[in-house]
Amino acid sequence: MSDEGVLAEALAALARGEKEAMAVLYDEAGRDLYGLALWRTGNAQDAADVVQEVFVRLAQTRASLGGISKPKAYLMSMAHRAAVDLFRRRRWTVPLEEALLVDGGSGPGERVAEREASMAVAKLTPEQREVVYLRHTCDLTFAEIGTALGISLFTAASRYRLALRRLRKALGVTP
Amino acid sequence: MKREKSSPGKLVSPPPPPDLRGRVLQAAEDAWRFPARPSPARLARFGPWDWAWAAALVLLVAANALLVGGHPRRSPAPMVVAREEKAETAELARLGIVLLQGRHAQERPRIPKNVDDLSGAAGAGL
Repeated sequence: MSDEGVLAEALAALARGEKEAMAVLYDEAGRDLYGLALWRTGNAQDAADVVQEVFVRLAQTRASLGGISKPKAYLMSMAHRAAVDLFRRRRWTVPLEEALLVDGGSGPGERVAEREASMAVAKLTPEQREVVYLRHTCDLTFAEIGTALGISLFTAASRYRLALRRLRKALGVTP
Repeated sequence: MKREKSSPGKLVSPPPPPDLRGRVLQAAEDAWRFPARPSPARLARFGPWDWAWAAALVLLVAANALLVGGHPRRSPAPMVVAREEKAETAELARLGIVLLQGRHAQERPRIPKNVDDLSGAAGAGL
């Protein structure tokens, strides 16, 4: 079963009242949700709070979770809203302190690139980081990103283009 | 100086901390007992009995308002108040009581609007 299929089934199970589906959902989507929250908030503690908030809301609104057509985009939109709510409550911004990118298993040879890339990503606005994360890490289409973030497809695409331009500039890469 | 193109390593977002899974599932378990309030979809399924109850409630409120007396009692018009005050003052004057209220009001020190206006405050004796 595909990722989307597993997520859809887990959400449907929640709607039926099967509490055990929470663990399945976390194992399938927890990492992506945490990553998005980390890229949005720039802080590991806040990112953990956002993920927790998503699962609390899932538990509270479980009755309405059946029949969601794009479960991944749906979960990402929940994480986005939880992160926005967190910032709204706080009313201040937290400086980016965490590494937003780590070595994904290719050995220790890319440490410098890893740090540089993290710093370049940190220079983007939270909105741009979100779009880049959803496009690259979660493989969402621009239409799905638009749905998840509550923006139009064109806004999502233009944010992404602008973010890539800034990343290229920060990393000194020519297209 | 242009950077040499190298084959980049696979960079991914950091994984969540290992203890997050337990914490999240525990919070979800706690929240499971308190499902959210009825959604707008529930309100859309407003049935005949719900309408009957709502109508009864409206009738009850209306009947209560009628029984109590409708509008709240209106305060007297400003003209009437002024006339009553004038009569009262005249009555007091006849009794030889001197009203000091007006004189005191004139002698009250001026309070500066701006707190930084120290000259005004000093002038007013504050």
